[in-house]
Order: sequence, then C-alpha cells, then structure tokens
Amino acid sequence: MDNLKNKNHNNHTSRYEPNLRAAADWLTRSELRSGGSSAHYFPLFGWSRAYPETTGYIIPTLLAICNRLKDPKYNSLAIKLGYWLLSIQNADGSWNGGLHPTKIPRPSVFNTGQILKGLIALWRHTLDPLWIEAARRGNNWLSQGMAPDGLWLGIDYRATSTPSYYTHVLWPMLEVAQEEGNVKIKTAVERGLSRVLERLQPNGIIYGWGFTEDNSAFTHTIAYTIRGLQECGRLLGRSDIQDAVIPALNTLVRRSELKCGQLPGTFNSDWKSTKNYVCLTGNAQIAKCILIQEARVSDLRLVSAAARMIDVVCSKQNLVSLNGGIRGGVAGSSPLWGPYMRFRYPNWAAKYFCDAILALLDRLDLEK
Amino acid sequence: MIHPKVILTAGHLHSQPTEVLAELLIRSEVTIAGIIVVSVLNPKRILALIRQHGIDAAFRRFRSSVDPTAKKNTRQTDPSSESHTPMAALLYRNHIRIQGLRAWCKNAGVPLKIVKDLNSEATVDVVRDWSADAAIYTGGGILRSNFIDAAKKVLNAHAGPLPEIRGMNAAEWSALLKIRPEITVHFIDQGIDTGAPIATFAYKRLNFSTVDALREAAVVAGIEGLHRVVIDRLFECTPQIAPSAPTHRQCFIMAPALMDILRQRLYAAHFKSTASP
Repeated sequence: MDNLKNKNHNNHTSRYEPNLRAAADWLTRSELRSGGSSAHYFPLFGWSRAYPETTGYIIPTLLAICNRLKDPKYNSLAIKLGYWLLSIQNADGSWNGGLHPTKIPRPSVFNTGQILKGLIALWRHTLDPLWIEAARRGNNWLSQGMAPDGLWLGIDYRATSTPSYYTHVLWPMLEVAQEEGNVKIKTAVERGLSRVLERLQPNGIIYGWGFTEDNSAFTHTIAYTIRGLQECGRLLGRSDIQDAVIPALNTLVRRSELKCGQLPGTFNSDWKSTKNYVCLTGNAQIAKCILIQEARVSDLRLVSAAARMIDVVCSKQNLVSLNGGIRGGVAGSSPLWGPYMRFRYPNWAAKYFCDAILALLDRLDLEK
Repeated sequence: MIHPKVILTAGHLHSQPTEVLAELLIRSEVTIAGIIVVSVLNPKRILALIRQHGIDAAFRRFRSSVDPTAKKNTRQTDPSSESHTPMAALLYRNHIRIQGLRAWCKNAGVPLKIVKDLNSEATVDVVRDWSADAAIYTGGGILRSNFIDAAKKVLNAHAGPLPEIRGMNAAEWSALLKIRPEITVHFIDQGIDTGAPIATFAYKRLNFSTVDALREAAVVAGIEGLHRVVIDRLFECTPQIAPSAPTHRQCFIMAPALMDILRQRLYAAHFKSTASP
C-alpha cells in the first residue's frame, strides 16, 4: 500500500514538475544584470527592460517554488529582486509605472500594489523589518491617494477611472494593513471593495474589469478582479465577497470545460467572445482562482477543471528550445500571434503558470 | 399482453451496447421498430468530438467506431476466467455473438437507418413514421426538442447516480467522489441528465481494478437496466418535469491528473478487497 501511495504521489508530481521547473528556471533567466526581472522576452529583440510591478509579485512565487522544489537558488533570487525594488522606491513610498528605467517617472497605484505582495512575502519569510517598513510606506502612499469612496482618482495605466481589477491592489493593501494593525486602511479598503461590488451584474460580470472601458476584458484582468475579491474576502472573513465571484467562476469553468480547458482570450459583458485565441496567462490565473474556490467547497470537479486549464498551458510551453528566452517560458497568447502580448513571453505568464501548478500540486497531494 | 415497440439510436455501426440491448429486447418479445445510426463520417460530428475530447482522443474514438477490430469483448468468455470483462461476461451469460449492427439488423429483420444527425428533420420524420412507444438512446449525440417530442418518450441509461452525478465520465466521477455505484435509467429532456429518473441499478465497484473495467461495468448495468425498464415498466412511466432545477455541478471529462488518482484508488481498493479473507 505504501508503494501505491508513493506511486500516486509521483504520478501527479511527475506530470507537472518538469513544466514547473522549466518555468521557474525561465524566471531565473529573466533576471537582468541591472536588476529586476525582465518584463518579457521577444524573439526578435531579446529580453526587455525590468518591470517593477511584476518583479514584485514574482517574489512570493519564487519563495513557494523554493519550498516545493527544495532549491535555495529561488529564495536567493527572491531576496535579490526584493533589494532591487527597495533601491527604486520613491521617497514618498510609491513605485513608478511602466518598465524601469522610465523616461517620464510617474508613480503608479497598480504597480505599487503589486510590489507590496513581494515585500510582504519577504517580511513573512525573513522577519526582517526592512521589508515591512518599505511595504508600510508604499501602503500609506496608496491609502493617501484614495478618494473617500475607497478608490483612486486620476489616470493610472490606461484607465481614467479605477478599473475593477484594482481589487488586485486592495488585496495587498489589506495584507500590509493586517500585518501592522492599521484599521484606517482596512476600512478604506472595505469601502473600495463595496464600490467594485456595486458593479457586479446578475450574469456574474463585473463592469470595468478590463483594461479599456468598453467592457471587453482579457481573462488576465478578469482573473485579477476575481482573485482580488477572493483574497480580500478571505482576509476580512467575509464570505459575501468570496461568494460574489461564484457566478463568474461557474461560467468560466463551464466555458473552459466545453473547450478542453481552453478559455477564449477575452469576454464582453454578455460572456461572448469573438476572438479565437487563448490568453495563456489568464488561463493559468483563472485555474488558480478555481482552486481557491475549490478549497472552500471541496469538489474534485473543480480541481479537474483547473487541471485541464493548466494542461492547456503545459501543452503550449516549449521545454526543448535552445533559446533560453523561449524554453520554459509561457507566451502571452496561443497562438503566439494572438492579441495578448503578441509574439512575447511575459514574465507574469510564467509566474501565474507556476502559481497555478503549485496550487494544483498542493491540492493533489491531499488526495494521496 | 401488449408488447412494447421501441426505436434504438446508436453512435456508430459497431456499437456493442446497442446491439446487445437490441438482442436482449427482441428475445423478450419487444418489437424493435428500427435502429437509427448516426454516421461517423460527418464533419460536424468530427469537429464536435475534437472540441469535446481533443484531437488525440477524438481520433481514437473515431477509429474504434469505424474499425470493428479495434473493439474488445467481441468474443464470449467464461466469466469465471481471470481475463473476463463485464461486457464479455454479459455476452457469455446470454450467449450473444457480436456481429455488428448492419448484420444484426439484417438477420433480425429490423430496419436500419443511417443518418447524419439525430435532430435533422429527415430523422425526426423517420421517428414519427416508425411510431414507437419510446426511443432508447444508446448514442448518437445530444438530442434536441424536435427528436424528443417526436419520440414521445426517450429513455437513457446514465452511468452514475442522478441527480448527484450529471454529465460525462459519470462512472469515473461517482467512484472518485465516493458516491454509490449505480446507473440511472431516466427520461431524456433538453437539459444535461436533468430528465426524471425511472429506476436505478447498482453494480459492484470493488470487482474492478481498472478504469476501463469500471466504465464497462456501468455500461453493462445500463444495458441490463434499460432492458428491465422496457419490459417491466415502459407503459406505466411517463415523462415528468424533474422535481427541481439541477443543483448539482455538471461533470465534464476528467482531467488526466484526476484519472491517475482514480486508477490508483481502484487498484488499491480492489487489491484490498481480494486480499482480505
């Protein structure tokens, strides 16, 4: 029987570990000599400049990979990337938007929020106050910029009003606020969440969850919105927030299952999609969101749905190329010329792919 | 005594469940008005198969439906033998020799109609012309309302307990989710396995150490269940609206990683049950 158990464990580990290792190694290759993780690899022009936003949220992924693969090189890289982020933090606690260095430095709400995820992970991992102090300064800058309704005024990335996927900013704000016991920020975050939830439609769509305001959204930003709500709900102990995304998740599960785990790259406000490509990042992110929901309800059908979505991304990952920018990377779109990050291998695609595999392996371990 | 008159559907000309059920029914003096077989050489159907199962699995299914030699269990084997499978045991018990639907229909004098789509107007006209008491679904794709209305009653054997396990891979899902091993004979309506259940039939899950054998056991229980319902209860049961909207999550094709776990569990449970005194 013990042999059987081991065999069972090895089955799912051996099914996904080569893909996980390849993506993790791609992430290590994305580190630039000048610091930070390159935003993407473009086969014609090579590695891009560093992207502080994604460098930030790659950190918790690297720490989790180290935990799974028992390889300290990922921990070392996470800490190195953390120091680089500290070195480029603005005096007011914010970080600039776009790639680094940028011609016109402009502090960014979204990027600052994502970097907080890295810092809070490093704080929990090392207990070095350096990280929580930087995170606290970033969080203060974010909260000071909030309007009374708990969202932000002004322009950030392509948005003229706060998109719904900024729940992915509210989440790390809440993480930091809870670490330092900051009730004021917690209350402000709850106000922001209420505003976003007012955009929830009966069919599960949340208005404004795309980059643009025409209500067509990549699965990438749909997943940002859902994940932000899931994590905020968890941190606040509010099942109403977690439940708000169930209709959307049910639709996404059904749509992916009917197409062998492949979600269309975009959806409009009626859950229609006219584009025939897969946003691989979104596929992996939604898989992770499904696994988070599954942890609440314990239903292996959801695990299966997530696994099939991850399998799609695995099948598109190149494991044999001699080009280190392609081998192990995850393209923005499948096919490669699809509109999301056309012809590019973004570092966040590899990050979310690793996150999804790690979550799936953890869940499958429970079935030993 | 009035003998029922039924129509059978099949997904291809080498459908063993259809042939075995037809043989059992005819031996029980049920009149088979005809068998409708959906042609596999239909681009729409091939595309649907690819969408649902992926290219590799769709190709395997396509091959097994056009190539009778790719099928197993065409011989009767002694059920006491170690190598028997549930279908082979059923064939042995009932002295049935598989010959293919075309040959079976010819020998039994039953009309055979090959169609492109079960829901086409031409097929629905055939169903009306044959004027049977019920249609028994044993494959051929999703049924639409025009077919269901024309057939009056459409019966199906679903490979899992309803309403808990709706959808695909039902035998596998009920085993993985540790829900009772039984098949459900039910009416087909326009939803996915949402029609009113008529009867359930249990089978022994511990007898099988592989997923293929488990699936086949459910198929055999389905054939036997449909046979029983048609001869015992066809006239007394009428299609009803299911008591409530489905609240149970629909099952889809099981991911390979989950299938691995199921294989291990089946093997372990079988090993444990056969090892115990």
